[in-house]
Amino acid sequence: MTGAPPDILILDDDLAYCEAMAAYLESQGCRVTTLQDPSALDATLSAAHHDLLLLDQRLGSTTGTDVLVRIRAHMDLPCIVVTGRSEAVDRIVNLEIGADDELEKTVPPREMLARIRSVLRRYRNRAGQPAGQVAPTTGRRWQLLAERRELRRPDGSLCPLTTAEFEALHVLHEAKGATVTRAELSRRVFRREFDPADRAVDTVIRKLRTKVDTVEEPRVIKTVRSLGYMFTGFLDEARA
Amino acid sequence: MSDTGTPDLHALAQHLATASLAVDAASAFLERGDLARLHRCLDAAATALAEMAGWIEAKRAEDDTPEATRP
Repeated sequence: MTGAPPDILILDDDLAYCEAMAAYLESQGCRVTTLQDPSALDATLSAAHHDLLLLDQRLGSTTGTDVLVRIRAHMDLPCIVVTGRSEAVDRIVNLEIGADDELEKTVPPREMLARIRSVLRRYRNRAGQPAGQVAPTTGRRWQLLAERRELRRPDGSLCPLTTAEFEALHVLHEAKGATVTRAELSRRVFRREFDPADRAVDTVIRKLRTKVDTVEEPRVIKTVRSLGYMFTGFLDEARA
Repeated sequence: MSDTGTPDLHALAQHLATASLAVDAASAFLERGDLARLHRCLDAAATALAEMAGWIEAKRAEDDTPEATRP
């Protein structure tokens, strides 16, 4: 690898695999931190900078998908999900919600390394800076002013929203990366029970997307097929 | 083993991946003359291979068991 050795964080509850992967990546010039307990992830990410997360899909009481949703709600950390077997549904969901790549554990180590390098290159080229940085801090992010019912762009300018668009964004943001069903959006935005023939929720989300999607974050409101929507963008909420 | 007593393919894949990574790492550490790490990697590879041998034994035993007596 060129430049400073990348810091890779491995989250996998299988200690033997974790250590073998760490040894392999270290032998290839990476710095590696390993973690078996998903509940310690937030503290580990806060404590030190990491360039990339190698995330196991099967984590005992939780899944790589759940962890990924949590991370994507507040961090732009490159992430490769490693699956034990080819599980098409998990792979698709993970890629949809923001995994940078998906790998089976049985791929040859050299291919795994090549994929890691590829993701790191992509992030470095995109940002012109080391990958894995936390999303821009307050003042450079979108701001939702709850009491004024306003949405401000990172440059401070007002992004005009209709009442329904504002309510929908507020509900999605409150869910902190979890899926919000169309039924819940219908109840909270339009104060009426959801009717599958009613496209009002989908229409308001479509219009909202045209306002909040940017080149840097092209799809902050993800569609969760047959269920509803999920907000994965960066947004500060303020009272005034 | 899975809940049904069938050797778990996921576990086999996991051991295979562990052995593969450990062998590749061992090879790199051997080239560098880093003997301490080389030993650790060879230990990890040997353990994973032993687990795979256990998996194969379990699978053979299952294949040899008449259908009617399987759990």
